[in-house]
Amino acid sequence: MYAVKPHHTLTEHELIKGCVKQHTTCQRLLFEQYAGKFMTVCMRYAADSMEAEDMLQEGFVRIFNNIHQFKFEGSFEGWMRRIVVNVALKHLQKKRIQFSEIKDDIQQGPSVDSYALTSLGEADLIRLINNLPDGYRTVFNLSIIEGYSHDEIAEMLNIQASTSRSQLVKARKLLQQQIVELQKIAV
Amino acid sequence: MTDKEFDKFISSKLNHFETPVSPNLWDKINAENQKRRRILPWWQSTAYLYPIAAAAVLAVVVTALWLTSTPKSLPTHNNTTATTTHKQANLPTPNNTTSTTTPTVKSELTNAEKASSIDSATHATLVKSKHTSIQSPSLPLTIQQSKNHPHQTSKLVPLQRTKEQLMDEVSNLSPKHEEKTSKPLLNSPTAIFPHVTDDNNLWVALGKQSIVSMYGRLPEQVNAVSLKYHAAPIQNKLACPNRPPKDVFADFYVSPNIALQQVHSTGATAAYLRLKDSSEKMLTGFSVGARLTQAFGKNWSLSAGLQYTQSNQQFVQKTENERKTTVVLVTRSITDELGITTTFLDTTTVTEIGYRTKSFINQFKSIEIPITASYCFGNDYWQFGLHAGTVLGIINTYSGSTYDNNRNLISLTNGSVFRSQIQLGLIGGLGIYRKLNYQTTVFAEPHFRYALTSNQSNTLNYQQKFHLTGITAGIRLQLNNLSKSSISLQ
Repeated sequence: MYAVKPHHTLTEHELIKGCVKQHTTCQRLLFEQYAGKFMTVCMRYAADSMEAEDMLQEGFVRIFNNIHQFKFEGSFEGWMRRIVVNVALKHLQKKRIQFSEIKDDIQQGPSVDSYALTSLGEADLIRLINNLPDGYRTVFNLSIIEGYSHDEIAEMLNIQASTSRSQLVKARKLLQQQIVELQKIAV
Repeated sequence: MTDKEFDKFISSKLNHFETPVSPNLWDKINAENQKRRRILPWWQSTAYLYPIAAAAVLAVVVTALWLTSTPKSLPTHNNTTATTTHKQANLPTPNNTTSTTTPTVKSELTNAEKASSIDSATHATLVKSKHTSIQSPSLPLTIQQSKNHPHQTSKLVPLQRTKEQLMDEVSNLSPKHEEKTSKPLLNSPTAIFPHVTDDNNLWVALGKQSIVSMYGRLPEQVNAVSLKYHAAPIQNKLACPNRPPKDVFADFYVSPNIALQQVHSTGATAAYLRLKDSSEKMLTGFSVGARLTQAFGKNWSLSAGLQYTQSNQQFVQKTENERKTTVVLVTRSITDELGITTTFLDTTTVTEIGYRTKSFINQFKSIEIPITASYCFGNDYWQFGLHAGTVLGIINTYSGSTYDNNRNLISLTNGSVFRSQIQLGLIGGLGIYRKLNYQTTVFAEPHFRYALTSNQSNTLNYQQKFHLTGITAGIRLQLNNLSKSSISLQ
């Protein structure tokens, strides 16, 4: 057991070292600290919460297996998040998602009222994102939330960068449209 | 709101949002971690590393010893004296050594040719000379003078004959000679080089003779191993038509295996066994290893080695995750004798159950010592054989999952569910061996392996054995008679 210090006083560095040594307590602390955030990540890629939990489980197992490779360069959370996202993408690749174009008549995205956005809860927002077609959703998540460039996304998903751009534009437009419609219902 | 503001808003809203996770998720992750710790370290753990390292070191040392040791005596060594004596008896008298200056078939050996068929095989290549050296067209070489004929030397005459022709002559020589002379003469290279008594020089001369016969000349640089290689088939022909005795081989092999699962209930219910049977499916496994084979005589050999065997099994867990009940309305009409129709509305329910399947690969890994005896027969190039023996599983590890008695999923851990103790099996099969050259043979051995012990402990109410069948394919390297130090070039 990792009993050098009380748990609440462990620094991130010590927590990582403990996980490298396969101390179960440190692993559990790490899990408790980041499970919620990474569950949100998985929820955005998964079809349902059950699949999201599978992704999260595999993600944490990979994190614990490879934590010795973390060089303490850059953000540890970012390093873990990349692993979780990669696991999620691997799950999606099994489904062979199509990055097809969906015909829509909207030339320009509807104007979204900032009030509508602020009143929108995170869970609702995730649900709306999940309603997007797989291709749109994946590119939107990777680009807007994870912050990957289109070239990086193209490499990760084995698609053209131009496809990534067009998918993002359409995803954003569709999401804005859904928010506006939700706002209408609420009113 | 611009697209940029929209993106920024979404990002900031979701980046730090936390979704609650189910309370038992940590238990699942922890269980998987624990399982991994038990599975992976079998080659990392010192408990396993030491015996494996010791076995590897032992194998290297034994191989090195075989390769570097100088044979005390070649197969014909013991016969040299007798052969020389015998040959001497057949040699012509000095009076017949008159026509020795030209490399012709006519020589003083002509008399010996009449007396012995050995001379008929050697007279074409050996001519007595008054010079004290053996000569090839390009490289003069000297061999030790015969003790019996200190004033006589031999000379190699380059004839355009192939090695096969030379071997054929030697082959033809043996039976004929066997009829007329005593057996020791057959096994002696002095039949070809009657005046060379030193073993090393005999084989050097034999090798050079073989090279000259094959290529017409001796290369400027020829190493001892090459000489030995060229001399060896003739040596084999002389010593044993099929295989030289006491050969030692190193075999390296791999075998795809198909496992046949045998489950014997020791208290498990039929329902449990049905569930187990429907959840498990054996997949292709493999064995890979190395062994040393020692030949005894012409046909028999004994092998022992170290191998890694892995049997794979697909385990599919089916769990109910959705139950959908649909109410169906049924309208029934009944018409009585008076023609009055009454309509009833009846309801019935249909339940559909959705299953979620999860698939695992169970792995059963063993470090084993196979010990087998073989009987082989055939010619120089093709050998066929039967082999039988035992396989000791000395280190056994398992990974994966199975159902416990309560049909809950449990991991295959050492000791608790599956046996880590030594396991025993019997193996038997056929063998086909094709010799590529003097040193190398490839082989295939279809085999069946019967497990005597169960790989499952008494925790669960059944006993389980994996019988394996497959084809071992490998390469066999001859270790003896390859030492450079065993031959000295003059």
